[in-house]
This record gives sequence, structure tokens and C-alpha cells, in this order.
Amino acid sequence: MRKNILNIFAMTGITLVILSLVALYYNATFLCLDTVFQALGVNALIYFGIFLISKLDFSYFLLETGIKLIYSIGLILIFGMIFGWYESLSVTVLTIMSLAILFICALLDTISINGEIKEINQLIQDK
Amino acid sequence: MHLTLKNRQDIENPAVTIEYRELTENVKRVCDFVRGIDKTILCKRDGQSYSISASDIYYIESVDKKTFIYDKSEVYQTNLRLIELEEMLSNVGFVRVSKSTILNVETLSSVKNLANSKLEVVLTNGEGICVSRKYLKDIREVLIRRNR
Repeated sequence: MRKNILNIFAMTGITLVILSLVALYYNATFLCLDTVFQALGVNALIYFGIFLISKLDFSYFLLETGIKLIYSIGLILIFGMIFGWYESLSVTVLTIMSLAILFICALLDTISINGEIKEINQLIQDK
Repeated sequence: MHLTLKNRQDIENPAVTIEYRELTENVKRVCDFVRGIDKTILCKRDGQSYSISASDIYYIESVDKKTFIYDKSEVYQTNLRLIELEEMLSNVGFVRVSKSTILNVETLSSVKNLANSKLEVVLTNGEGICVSRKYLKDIREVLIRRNR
């Protein structure tokens, strides 16, 4: 549970950094406080949705990845409408941002898994 | 821990006696290991019945509601369900590595990351089994317990 909470906060942090970079590019001077909590809420929903999709244990990697992508981006676009994100960002920019965030999270996840595999291989050698 | 071996011609089966002051984790591990050697599972191959020792089993797989036991080079079938075998063998180094497979960690040689976000465990007989990433933590915990 602790690891899940940390992962959600990490995703939120990455989201806010990328959002800030995009905002700077468009010469924005501030981010609203409620955006922070909106990002946290949406990231939590994405994280748990992906967790449940992973539990289904698909045989085909591309199918599972496709479903996770569609779910994540779909959720972001829906909440974009609910929270009024399209007043300051276009759908294209929001989609690209989402892909960038998901890519960074996948990269971090891969690094973490490789670390665990290394540890397990060391434990096997120490047996 | 001291090990004493006595060659006795007057007994039929080997017997293990463990003397301890306190029942520590190490003592429990030795007990589990000994019980594991003795734990046998009744199975069949080519119409003949066999009794396989848990320590000789590499992994157990459930396919189409049938349970198959794999040792170093042979495959057997058992009437026991995977979940029953998992309960029976969980304290002798067996861990679930996918929805349909439990593995004897003593037969692990290495773990590899595959391109399709799955993992492959390589066994000491060279065989590879695909495992889900979500069971990695359980494999790690069983190895840590056994190495303590």
C-alpha cells in the first residue's frame, strides 16, 4: 500500500513538472492550486485502473499495453472536460503531455524491475 | 550449528534429530527442509504410479484443469489441485509464479527480463518458465527467508 501511494505521488510530481514546462513554453506565469489536486486525483485513478488491468494477466503484451494507453488517455481527456483544462490546453497538447508522463513512468518502472531482478539473481547466487 | 553424522547399520530409514535450546528461524528452516525431503506426492506417468519427493520437483503447472508435476527431466500428472499443492508445499520453498504455476525456488538458476514486460525464470536443468511481474516480490521474499 505504501509503495502504491508513493508511486501515485511520484506520477503526480512528474505530471506537475511536465505541466509546468508546457506552461512555461506558453509563457504562463502560474499554475492554479486546484490543478495540483486534480492531477493527484486523476493520477490515482489511472494508477489503480492500470493495476486492475495488469491483474487480468493478458497473454499479449501489445493488447495489454494498448488497453492501458487507451484507458489512461481516455481518462485524462474526460477529466480535461470536467475540470475545464481545454480552456488553457488543446486536446493535442494534453494528449502529448499524457504520453510523455506515461513514458517516463514506464521507464521508471522498468528501472525498478531491473533492480529487483538484479537483487533476486544475487539472492539466487547466495543460496 | 553443528552437524553430526552417525552411520548406523541397525536402522532401516535415516532419522534426523534436531537438538535446540530455542526454536529459532534457522531451526525452523532446517525442520522445513527435512520435512520437504520427506514430503511426497502421488502421481502417474504412462499408466504407472510414482511417489515424487517435493525436493525433486522443479515446478507444478495446471493446464485444462489437470495438474502436471515436472522434475528434472520427466512430467507426471497428479489428481491434486494446484491450490492444494501450493498449501502443502508453501513452507518447503515453493512459490506461485503465475496463475497456473508454482515453482521450487531451490531449482532457480536466474531470472531474466523479457521484451514483452514478462519475466523468465531459468531453472537449473536449463528450462525457462514465463512468470508475471507481480509475483516477483513473492519470489524475492521466499529467497530472503531461505537465505537468512
